[in-house]
Amino acid sequence: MIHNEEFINEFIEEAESHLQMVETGLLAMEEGKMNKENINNIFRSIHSIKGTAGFFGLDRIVELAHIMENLLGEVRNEKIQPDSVMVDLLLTGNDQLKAMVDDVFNSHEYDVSKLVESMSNLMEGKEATSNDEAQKKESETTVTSTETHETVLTINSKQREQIEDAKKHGHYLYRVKIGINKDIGAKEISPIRFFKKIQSVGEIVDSYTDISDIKSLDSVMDADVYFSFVFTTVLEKKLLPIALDIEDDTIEELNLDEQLSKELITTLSEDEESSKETEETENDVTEEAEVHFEEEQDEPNQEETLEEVTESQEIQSSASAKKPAAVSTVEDSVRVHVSLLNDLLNLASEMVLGRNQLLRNIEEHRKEISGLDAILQNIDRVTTELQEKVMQTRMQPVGNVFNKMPRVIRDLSKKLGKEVELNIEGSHVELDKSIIESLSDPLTHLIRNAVDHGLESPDKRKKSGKTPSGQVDLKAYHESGYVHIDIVDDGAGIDAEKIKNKALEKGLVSESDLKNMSDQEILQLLMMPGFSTAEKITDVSGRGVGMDVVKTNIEKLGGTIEITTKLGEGTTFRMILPLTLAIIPSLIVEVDEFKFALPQVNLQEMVRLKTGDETKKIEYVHNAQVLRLRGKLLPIVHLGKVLGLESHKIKEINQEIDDITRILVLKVGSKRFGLVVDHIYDEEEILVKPLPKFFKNCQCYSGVTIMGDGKTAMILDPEGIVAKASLRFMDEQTKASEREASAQLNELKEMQNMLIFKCSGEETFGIDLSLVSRVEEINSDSIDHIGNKEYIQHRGEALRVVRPESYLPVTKKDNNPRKLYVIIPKLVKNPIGIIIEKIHDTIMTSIKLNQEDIKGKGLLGSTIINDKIVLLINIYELFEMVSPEEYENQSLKISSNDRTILLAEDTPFFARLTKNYLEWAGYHVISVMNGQEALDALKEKPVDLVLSDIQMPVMDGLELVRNIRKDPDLAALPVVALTSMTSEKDREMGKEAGFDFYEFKLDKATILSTLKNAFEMRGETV
Amino acid sequence: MTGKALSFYLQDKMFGLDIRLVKEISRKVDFSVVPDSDPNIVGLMNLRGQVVTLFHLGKILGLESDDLEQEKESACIILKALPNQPHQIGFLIDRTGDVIDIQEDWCEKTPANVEEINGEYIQEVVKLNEELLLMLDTEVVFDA
Repeated sequence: MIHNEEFINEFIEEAESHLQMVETGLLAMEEGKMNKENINNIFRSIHSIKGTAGFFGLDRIVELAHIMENLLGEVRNEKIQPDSVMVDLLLTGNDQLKAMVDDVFNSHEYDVSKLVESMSNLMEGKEATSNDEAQKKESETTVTSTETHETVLTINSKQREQIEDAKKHGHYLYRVKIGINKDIGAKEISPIRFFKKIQSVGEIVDSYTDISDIKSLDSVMDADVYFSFVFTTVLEKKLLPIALDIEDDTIEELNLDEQLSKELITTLSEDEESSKETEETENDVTEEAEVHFEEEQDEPNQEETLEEVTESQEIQSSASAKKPAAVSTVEDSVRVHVSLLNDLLNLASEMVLGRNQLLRNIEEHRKEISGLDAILQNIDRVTTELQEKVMQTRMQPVGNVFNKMPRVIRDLSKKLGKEVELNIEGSHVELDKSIIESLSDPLTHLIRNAVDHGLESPDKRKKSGKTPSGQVDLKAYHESGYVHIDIVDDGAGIDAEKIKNKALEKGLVSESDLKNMSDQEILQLLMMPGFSTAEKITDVSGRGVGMDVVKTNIEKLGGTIEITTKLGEGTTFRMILPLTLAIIPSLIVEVDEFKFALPQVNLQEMVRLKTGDETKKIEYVHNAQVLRLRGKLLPIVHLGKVLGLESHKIKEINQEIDDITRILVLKVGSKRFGLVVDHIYDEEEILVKPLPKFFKNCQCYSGVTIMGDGKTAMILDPEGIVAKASLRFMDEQTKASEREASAQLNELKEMQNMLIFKCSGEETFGIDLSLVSRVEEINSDSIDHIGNKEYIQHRGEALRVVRPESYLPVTKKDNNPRKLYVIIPKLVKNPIGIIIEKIHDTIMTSIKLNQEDIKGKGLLGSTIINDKIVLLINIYELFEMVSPEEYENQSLKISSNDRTILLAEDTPFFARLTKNYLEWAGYHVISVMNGQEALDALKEKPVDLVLSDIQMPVMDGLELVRNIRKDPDLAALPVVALTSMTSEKDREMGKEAGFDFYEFKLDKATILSTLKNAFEMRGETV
Repeated sequence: MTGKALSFYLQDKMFGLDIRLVKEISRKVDFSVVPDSDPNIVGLMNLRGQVVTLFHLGKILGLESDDLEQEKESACIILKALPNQPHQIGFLIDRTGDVIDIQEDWCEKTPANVEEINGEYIQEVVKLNEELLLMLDTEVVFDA
């Protein structure tokens, strides 16, 4: 062990991040980003590695880093133009460094001589080609000890320049010599931290370790190693010991003036005794500082120094953008060990549990102790926030993994002779560290897959009319509480026939199985162990690690993977990942007095069957139980039976006692089944603890949690239950469940996310979250009054804010709380903030609007949520009342009033909102709930335009528009889609189906102007 | 071994454990049974937020066991989590005994004729004045 394992680990960690930076930088350089900043970054990173590796006497790393640094230095000085050969070489060097850093204890056994040789050849070669004398002079001078002939220190022109530059900024030049064990070790700071410490006060010019006595790394422990820095800083000598926490006798000030070279030489050579004068050859007199081990300096060197000054001034002016040497940066981040973060996360999670228990146990006494309620609420809030913050500390951007991909693509495209363009989106999307770490392999695999199997060769691409260079998109984005990562290629797509043949060939499936398989199922075969579609095995793929491993890895993270493909157009692999592994929403269920937590990811719906109800009951196919759910058969599994609970059988017989069968409809991948449990309790956010290894044989569990009552509960693993119950999903079932699933999904999408809040009065209000851009907390004194209007500062701009109670027919009170919230709406031009006093909740619910009871301008109606009347705000009307001049855009109204619009929308809330503003604009509106009703209505009444939602029960919007286009009487009717799914793909699908326009549901102004356009398109004026 | 051993009773037989392995003794055992788990596992216990897997030591050692009801009354010993064993382990006992100082020369390897208890679970036998103390080898016992 070199010095201390922790120091070494720190070095490795540090070096790895530098190496990553170098790689990114080199790739950017190859793409032509030749800016100084980039090259400087690469240079600095390599330099840092060299510097710190020197501490530990990692010779090979130093050697390689040194030559790379030199090469880069030449590039930086614009003496060499980098080409792809050179970048290749540097990348290989970088890889080699990576390998050595990873295997740091054996790094001295690596052979870097070849690389070093080819790099120096490259450097010399470059110089040789340019016969310019000045360039030749750029080659650096090494300082050699006359006695040992070992290279000790090199000062190149760059360092020279740095010193000169620093001098101009009033820097002093110092040398510090410290014993690694004596000074650093005793103070328990690592060499790297010491290195950084120096960097925080000044700039390091050079550093080296005297490692000549050290025979092996281990002996570092015994004999102290002396390490010397030469650095510049603005600090005076007497301040340095304090700043660096070292003894003052270790510091020497060096003279910056003409004696520079001499001082540098003498002080640096002190360690080496008995240096002799060396002969100097005239042609070596360059702008380089020649540094020899001499007690006294001779004439030529003095001259040379003077020469140097003028030279460096020129350099200085040419590189005017160079930063001043002394930039003391204030660090706004701190390095913390991951284990500490893990502990914090655990503790925060424990605290959540503790809070849950506290709240549960104290519930009854809340009223008895005055003031307790407020305290509890506070604890509740603080705990939640604490947990969220701690969670955030572990969040890392997926960019950390994504930025490895350009390199993968580059190497692959070279190897395979394919041109590939990689397009990365969403690098900022954050995931838990543990997920990020496990993501690298599956992602690399999928990317390789996309390039190797997905994209065709340039020739083939040209033949099929595509651009010769293939496109691979890597996208990360948030989607309903999960992070999706898409790997999209525009290649040949996956041929289902090929998969079939391959699967047969490999004996993975039988012919009869195949006949019954759906396309999706065939694609899923790709992810079976032992499957590989590459026609020939390249060294890129077919290394035995297949898609099955990717699938298992993703599932281990609690995610899923989906494949969609279109022959000739490309393939998309979509990974759906949870944000974090630690806390998941789940449903607590009970069987036979055992409680379990069921992750809600898998839960689709809950069904209650009453005994005696003939319309809904469990039926039998032979011995198997099934349930008819919306016309499809759903296999039924009893949790108790799967878990082998004996008393369960008795209960089944005595089911009449309970009267109700509770079925959870679960979805695992494309499989759906019903799970029968005895009781269903609350939803609970549970903290996932790993399953103790002693339970590894229990397929049905994925983890353990501790519930609010302090008892442990097992977390159910639906996948495991499927396996354990040996459910075999055949073609029909899967297809059916697929369709069901997508219908389900649609239903879910039509659920509304409501923000529930209070203003000053008693009324509870609701607003659809899709109308809300964000909610900000403000202080009541931050509201400015201008005239009778109120404004706040929002993102540097004045935002008008209103209190809805001033405009709506509701009660108003003067509570004057200090803390207020502002809802900032979206989808309106010139937004106005809505001031509210208290946020209750956000609820996912399907709203049933109470039709006519509570009405008033600005209100859409009311609904009951959790036994409370909630008033739904119509923000369009509210804003019109607030600021009629801006929001009552008369141009959107139509002049004639004989236009009839058929509105097909199943969500009452949106139907009401839309109808409301259509009528405002002067249209007659006929409302229907789905596509079928719309078709019926079209037969009965003349309609001028159809405005339709996409997702509707019975017949969706796409089907509706297809039917309209098919009907010769209706084919010319303008049809506008109104939807919440506005991705390009959705849009395309909509257009394909026959929609004239495709608009976002809540965007009133756009919709109204689109309607006008739609009429005009048909040559009518409105 | 030399040092302190914790003795405890299971089915009226005395066993010992190197006290350095013991994290704590809990007299209030409140655990949840896990259906469909290994028969040697009694259940899981929440020990101040840590999940402890409780084992049925009696069953593992091949001793006849009484019904579960009685065990609910009993105590349990929770072992320190070893670095290579991230999961906490505990096991039920009938009652605890004493902490005994043991000298090296009192110890002897398990005699060849030990049949009653699966011999490999016994690390060594300590010859106390009045009786023999069977020292458990927890690594073997709980290497489920």
